[in-house]
Amino acid sequence: MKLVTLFASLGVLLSGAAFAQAPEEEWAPPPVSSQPSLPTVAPEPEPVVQPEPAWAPQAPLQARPEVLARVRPAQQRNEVSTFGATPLGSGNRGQSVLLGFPLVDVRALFGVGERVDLGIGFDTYFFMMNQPKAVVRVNFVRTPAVSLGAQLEGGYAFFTQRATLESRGSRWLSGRRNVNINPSLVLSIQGPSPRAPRVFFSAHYLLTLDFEGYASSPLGGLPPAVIVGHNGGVMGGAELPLSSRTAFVFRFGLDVHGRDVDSIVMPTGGVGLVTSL
Amino acid sequence: MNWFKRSMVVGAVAAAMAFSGCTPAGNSAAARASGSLALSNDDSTVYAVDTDNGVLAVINPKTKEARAVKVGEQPARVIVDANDTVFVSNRGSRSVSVIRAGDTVESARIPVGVEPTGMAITPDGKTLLVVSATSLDRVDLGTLTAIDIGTLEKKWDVEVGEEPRAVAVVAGNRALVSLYKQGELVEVDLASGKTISAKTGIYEAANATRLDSAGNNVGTVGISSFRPRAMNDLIVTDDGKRVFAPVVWAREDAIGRSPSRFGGYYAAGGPCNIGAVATAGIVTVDTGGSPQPQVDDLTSCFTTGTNSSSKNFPSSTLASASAGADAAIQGPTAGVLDPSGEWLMVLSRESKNLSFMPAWKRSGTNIDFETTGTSIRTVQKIEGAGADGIAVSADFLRAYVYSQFDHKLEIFESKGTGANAVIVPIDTIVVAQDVAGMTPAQIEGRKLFFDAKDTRMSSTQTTVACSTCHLEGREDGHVWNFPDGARQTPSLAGRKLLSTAPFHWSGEFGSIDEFNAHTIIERMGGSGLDNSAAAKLDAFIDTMPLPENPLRVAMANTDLEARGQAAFQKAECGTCHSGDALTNNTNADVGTLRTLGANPDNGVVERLGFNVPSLLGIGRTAPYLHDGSSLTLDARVTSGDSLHGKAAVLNAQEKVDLVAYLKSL
Repeated sequence: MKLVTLFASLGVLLSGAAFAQAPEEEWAPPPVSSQPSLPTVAPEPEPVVQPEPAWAPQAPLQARPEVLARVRPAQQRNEVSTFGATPLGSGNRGQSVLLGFPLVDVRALFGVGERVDLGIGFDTYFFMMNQPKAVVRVNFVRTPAVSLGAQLEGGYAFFTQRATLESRGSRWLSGRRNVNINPSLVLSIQGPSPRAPRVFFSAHYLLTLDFEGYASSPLGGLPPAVIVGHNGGVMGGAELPLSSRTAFVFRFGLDVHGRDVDSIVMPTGGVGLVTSL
Repeated sequence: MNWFKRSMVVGAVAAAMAFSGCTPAGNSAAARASGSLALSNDDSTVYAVDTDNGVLAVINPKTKEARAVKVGEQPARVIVDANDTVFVSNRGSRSVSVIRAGDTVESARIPVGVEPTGMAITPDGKTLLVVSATSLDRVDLGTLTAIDIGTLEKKWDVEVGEEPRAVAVVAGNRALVSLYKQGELVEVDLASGKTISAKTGIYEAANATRLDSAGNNVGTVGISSFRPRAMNDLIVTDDGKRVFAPVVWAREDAIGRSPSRFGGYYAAGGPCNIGAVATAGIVTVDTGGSPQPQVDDLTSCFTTGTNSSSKNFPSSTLASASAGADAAIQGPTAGVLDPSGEWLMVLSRESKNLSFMPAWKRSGTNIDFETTGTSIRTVQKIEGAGADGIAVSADFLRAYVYSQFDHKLEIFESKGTGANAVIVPIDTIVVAQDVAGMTPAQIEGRKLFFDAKDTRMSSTQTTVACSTCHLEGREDGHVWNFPDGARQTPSLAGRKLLSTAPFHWSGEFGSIDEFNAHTIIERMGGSGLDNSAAAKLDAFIDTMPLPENPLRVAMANTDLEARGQAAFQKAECGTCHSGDALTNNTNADVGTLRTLGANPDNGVVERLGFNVPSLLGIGRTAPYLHDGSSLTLDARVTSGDSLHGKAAVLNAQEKVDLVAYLKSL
């Protein structure tokens, strides 16, 4: 429970940070180049003793506004998300690599509608479990600050070792089996700043179909041809924009495995990049 | 959209990689029956061959009804094809009987080689493979015969080495054939019917520490070496990529007299002190590009190593985790895999039990319970004597075992699961009776001969039977380094043993009772037999038939036989090898005494030479001489010592004739 509390606290902090972060420095309008015209007759000014400035005044900017605009354009908001609920938008794309434990997650999504993304991906546990997968993400709620959506991942995993040969292996760690169907509910929160972190939380269910069941004891009979497994878990993390198209991502979570031949719970985590480059 | 195309390509490549290289070997339905037992495809019928009675017993396990189908002499093994046609190898009839599903008589009998035993059916169901101990014209080479199941015609046969016994069809349209005495495997291309390789290197793998890169023995003091033999059966996974071969490891280096009185001096000295000088084991062979034996280095004390837990094959010794007397394992005869291919079951005749072990791992947690130090998870006692057939049901809830000497089928099931599972016998069906051709004394004597659990015969520390070395009453081709020197196991079968006193290579035992008492008590650690039991054992030994010999009939009354007899007389072989048993029962120095080397001959042989052995059946008992120093009869006759008869007076043709004659005896 401590671990769950820690993740929750971390998520709250990140959410607060997302809202509390002030907009990034505003670029002032370009200075006006012409000076105000002087009156033709000016009264004699009262002699005023000016104190010496504590710092020398800046010289006025000499560059033209259009040049300044080209050098430092207004920042665009980063909305390229592959792990949160923020949709890519129609015609947009996003890719990501997450180096994690127990799984490495590589995925590419494409916005087929304003609220629907499709994609493909690949999960692996040190190449001992390799799972090509398909991803569908649908957004239900979309505000500048909050997104809520559902995601479905599914794929077929190939294992390099027989189930009985693995001891604390990829099956035990990940809970995955031959077919893995993984629906999840995802919530994203992002502050108004173009570079505000996008915090996400998800709760997922993992349905597994195991075609490699084995007789577990002498003359104990054979298992069914397909063994169904039920797993669940929560995850939290954030996509931290580095630019309008690229973000650093980290993620932590906790899986709960339903089969007694797997670990009961398994912490998960990873770091990576999300980009639309 | 180029990025999307690229993504799809990357995904496709990843998927292709996963499909092509990362898929575990499948193994959905492995061989479920072996030896003298087979099951119909729907498991409704159990087939058992009864060797003594020459019948195939067709058994309904539900009703316990059994009917007999007469087949050839000494039926040895049975196999069922996808159409429920039953094939029986008739070891005493040089044939295979064919019984169609539901028939009460055999529908055909296919002639094959001499003493056919092992059979296998190719995955396409079109070809039956039959192993014969010898070909029809040679005693020193057996054959593998391919028979078209549709026409029952022979397609081809190929010579595969000395005393082949079992066959398994493996991946790549190949077969592996076991050599019973040599403990090796011969690889055969089934498309061409040609031999691919004559050995796999099992011995080299088991003794790697003791051998240099050239295979020469460079062992140091205290390191023992072991030779596999008694390779009676081959158990193949359903994908044909792995084969298991039960064996009995025989110690090669010197055997001391201790711990006599503490189990006999056969008791210790197994691989890393697991078991006795003759220890049951299992050889795993992966059959990829070329057969690769996965065998522990038995000379490096594998069980104390750090890598045993990472090995994905069963331990190469069949040792039970339990120290109980019932758990000792000796004399493996047959084995099967469960239908999921994860459990290997080995039936052992001499120890009368059935051992279960994971087929793909040695230790670990995810086959539900864990032990250390051995692969064996469960050992189940069997009541019957002479067990040589095993089968498991398709649902892996039931096992059948057939015991030849008691003619009965035992049925086992499991109660509970995982670590709490207990296997229990649930039924016994007697399918035949003792034959009139054997006296009750001979029948009892046979049980003693093949029993490693009877404490009169062997101590619980030793757990060896007479048949552990005298395989099937014959010999094992092994040379033991006994305290009195190197001694080859002599064959006992058909040699009129009781009329050949004195006994032993040294002839130091004047009576069979003296010899038995020494061997049983001093060596095997048994408490000894009373007169009645000893008489039964002697009766059986004396009644064992001479092994079949294709030349015995083929050469009878031929010119070759006459020339061979003439050469036999000319070389004065008959001076010592005389009488019905071809021995004059005296000692003779034929120039083979070894006075030098690591284990020189000593004792009475230094004065008197060696007890003249019988030559009956000599064609199938290679190697030759007391220390096995002559690998073939040809070698002995052509380059024999001048003291050993007068072979030097023979010309080249006469030597050829003499060798042919000797092989026909």
